[in-house]
Amino acid sequence: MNKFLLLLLLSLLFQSPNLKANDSFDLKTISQIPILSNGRIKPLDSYARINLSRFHNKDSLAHMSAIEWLTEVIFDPSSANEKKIFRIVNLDVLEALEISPIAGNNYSATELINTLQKNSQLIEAISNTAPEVQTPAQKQILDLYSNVQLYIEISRSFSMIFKEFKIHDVALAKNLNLLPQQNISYLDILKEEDALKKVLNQFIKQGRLQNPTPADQPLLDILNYIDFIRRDDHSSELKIFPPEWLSPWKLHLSNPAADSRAESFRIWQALYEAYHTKDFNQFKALSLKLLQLSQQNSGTLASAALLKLETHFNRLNLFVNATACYVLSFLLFALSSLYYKNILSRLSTIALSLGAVIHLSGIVIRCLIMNRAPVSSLYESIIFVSLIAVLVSLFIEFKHKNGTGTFIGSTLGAILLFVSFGYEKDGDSMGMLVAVLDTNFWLATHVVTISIGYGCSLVASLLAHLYLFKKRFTQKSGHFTKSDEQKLLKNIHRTVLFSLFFTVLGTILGGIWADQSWGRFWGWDPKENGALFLCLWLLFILHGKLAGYFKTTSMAVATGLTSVVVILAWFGVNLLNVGLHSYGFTESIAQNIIVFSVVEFVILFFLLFSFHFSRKKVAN
Amino acid sequence: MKIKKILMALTSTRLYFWASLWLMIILIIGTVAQRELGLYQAQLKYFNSWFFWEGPLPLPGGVPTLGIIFVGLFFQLLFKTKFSDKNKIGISITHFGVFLLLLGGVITNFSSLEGSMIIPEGKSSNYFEDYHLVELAISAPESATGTPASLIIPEKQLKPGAIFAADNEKYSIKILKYFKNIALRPRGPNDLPDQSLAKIELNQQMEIVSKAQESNENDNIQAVEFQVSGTANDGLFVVYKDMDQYPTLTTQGGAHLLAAIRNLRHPLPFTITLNDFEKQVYPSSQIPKSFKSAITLHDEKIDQKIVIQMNEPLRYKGYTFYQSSFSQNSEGEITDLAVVKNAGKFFPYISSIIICFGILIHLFSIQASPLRNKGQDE
Repeated sequence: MNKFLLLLLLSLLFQSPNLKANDSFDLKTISQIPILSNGRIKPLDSYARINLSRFHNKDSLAHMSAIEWLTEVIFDPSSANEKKIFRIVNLDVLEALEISPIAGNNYSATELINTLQKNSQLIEAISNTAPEVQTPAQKQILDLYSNVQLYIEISRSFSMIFKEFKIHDVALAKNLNLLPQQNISYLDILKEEDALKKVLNQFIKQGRLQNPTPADQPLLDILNYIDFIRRDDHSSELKIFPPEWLSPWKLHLSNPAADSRAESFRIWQALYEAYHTKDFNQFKALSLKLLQLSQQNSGTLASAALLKLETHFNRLNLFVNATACYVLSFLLFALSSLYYKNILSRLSTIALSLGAVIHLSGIVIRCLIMNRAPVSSLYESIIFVSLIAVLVSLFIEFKHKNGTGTFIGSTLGAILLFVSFGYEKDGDSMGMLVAVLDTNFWLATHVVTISIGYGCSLVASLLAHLYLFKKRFTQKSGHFTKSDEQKLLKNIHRTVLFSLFFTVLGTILGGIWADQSWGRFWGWDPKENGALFLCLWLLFILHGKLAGYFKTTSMAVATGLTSVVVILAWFGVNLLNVGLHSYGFTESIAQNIIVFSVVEFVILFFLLFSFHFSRKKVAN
Repeated sequence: MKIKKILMALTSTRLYFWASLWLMIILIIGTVAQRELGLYQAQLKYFNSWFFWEGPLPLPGGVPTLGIIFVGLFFQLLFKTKFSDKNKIGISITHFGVFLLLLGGVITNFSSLEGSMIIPEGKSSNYFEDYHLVELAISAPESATGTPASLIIPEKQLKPGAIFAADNEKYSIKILKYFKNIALRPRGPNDLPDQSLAKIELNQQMEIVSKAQESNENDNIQAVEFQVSGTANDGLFVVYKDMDQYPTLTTQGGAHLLAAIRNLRHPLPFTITLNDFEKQVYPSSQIPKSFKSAITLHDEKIDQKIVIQMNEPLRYKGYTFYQSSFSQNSEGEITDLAVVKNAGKFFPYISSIIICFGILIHLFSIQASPLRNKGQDE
């Protein structure tokens, strides 16, 4: 029975989007093609997701995956330009640019290119002001502008092979050795460069350049088209030609000899043709060939296995699945108090463990791809801290087998992972590290230890909440015995000690890192103060207990407040660093922190006072 | 006996409890204040101070708070701690580690020197500049640490009325006013000519006015008004930091000296030459990958080639040089090395090991012991 449920669960979690039937392009291969972007060689799939998230705030469209979207952008921009992918939610931005708001808040490139052109004076004026005085809306306008610029640059990457030009004049076509009334590309025209030169020379010699007649229009159209396409030659976003990682235009301008790069350029051309003729089999065969060639050309730089791993990682959505497990575990746990206590609570623990395994493998894969320790940004610290919280809770569960650990782990795991999704959308969550951070040793020690400290502290805090609730609401009914209480208190005390160990170690290691890199152990920097605050708070709890100020409930309340301290040390400090230039995004974080802190204070002090009064009642 | 009583009171857990609560409060206030005051000013006001004013209220600053904790811990270790008590050995070790950490902090606070050494490519330097303090330097141009004719007056001695005399050249200067930060203001056409020297020196076009300190302390413009006697061009002068042209004094002996305000210079007993500076970014991005300074260290008999880079500092004769930053001008790259001399440097390393060891022992000892009574006191 258990196994069956587990299988069902697994199949639900891992149902990947149905593999495409034969009536559409197989983009699996093309998504693994390596590209150099932002200092890292990544698969095209990641590149597509990062850029789509940047524009759209989500890494897929309603009926399109990121790689499908990117393929359309580079092969068929005129269709892609109509897709509503640019997300603008700020009404001030819409008003400033005179765009009428539409449902869904998404706008197409065609719309925005026109609008931004109309507002070019405004944009220039904003970009000339100092960043500190720009309003959030102004910043977003600049962001939008650079996003659209980026989009245009990507979409014009292959403009030299677009078959979009027609020569209507039969005689002229014949002179240029080209077919009339047929779609030809810039490169097709360029191939007949000599013939074109001849025609042009004659044209100039006859003095028609100064006084062109209507009959000369077809020739002028060709010249204009060449000029129009040549304007894209700065496009260098799509760095897909190893080993120098050139963009299509840069490769074209560098005049590659008949080497393997020229070969892969030809395959891209054929791929373009196959895309437009909808030749699915040809497309698949070509992309396979292209992948092999790219990997061969990039040598050891881009490990084929890692690129493949990364595309799988992108597709599997491990953290989403882990969240699902945690939520499931929580639901099963809640149900277990009503029905089939044994089976359901066992299943709940299994779901939690399964979630932890998925979660852990996600973090391990990220470490493999990035070749560095797991924590270097706020996003990474959230997914890491939540894993630690889950693991500590599982440890507690395996020791006591009373559901406490499962409850704590599923709650913290689910909440923290949910929070992390908000940060993931920031763009490339696997960015390169600036020089001073780029030391594996310190990242692996300091940041990891302090994150473990955060995780343990959160567990301690939640345990304290649990204690207070149990004591307040179930002690009278006899569900919470004295020995249960003692056990839970002991657990809280130990978790606090564990947290103290890791936060103190992490804080001192941070100081030592600073001493190694800048020559100062302690500088009263906000981040350092945050860590010190947590250390002092944990010490405060322990010494308060020792001094006799904190008895059981008051100590639980103090430990419960640790969550507020952790959140302040972890997120609040980042807000301070951001300082005056806060985007709407960080403002909402500030709001969330305040709401969270107030709610915690209210709940915990309510519990504290209710104990106080009930004790008084008993005394009376 | 009374003294002992007071000392014992200092060691009480209850005192620590309240002191640590207060420390957390000033930690929060001080950190939030950094947003407005800047890191350094907030640090001076809240953490490095004996007391600070919050409105009309004087409140204890970081020094007495940490001081009580430090002294209490010291006497606790001295009188109360029994390292033979097996149940508490973990806690005792941890306390000892924390004491060492704080002791290191005290030593660092009193003994450390830090600043930056800025060298353009191909140039040498034998001093480093203080981050915070300035000095009034009357010296020959290009002379780094001074010749007999020079007068170098550190910020701490720039007090109104103070008189300094140069031994050799028989001139002296008298400080009239010192400003921590000023603003320059053009004088209106209707302003009456003012005899205050600041305005004389600034050609009656501009005047300087005192101003509150900036949140970024590097934006402060310090200024000095002083009177010179015994030179060929005696008179009243005003100088402020980074002014376009510093005034020149000509001594009786004919030497030309520049009066300037600059960051306080700490001389080094050796010289460093920057041979080459190298900056790398990740391919196709602006994200810096590494900074590197290739230098030559010149000491009495040594000429040694060394590379300083991120996370790989140079340690020599008690000084440590870190790659901190760089800049660029038309003539080439300029490296910015952070220089630190700190006798308390090794305390955190030792104490962190001791503290962690102590907490681990404590964790294992409570793990091994059976359930103990709650609410146990000392």
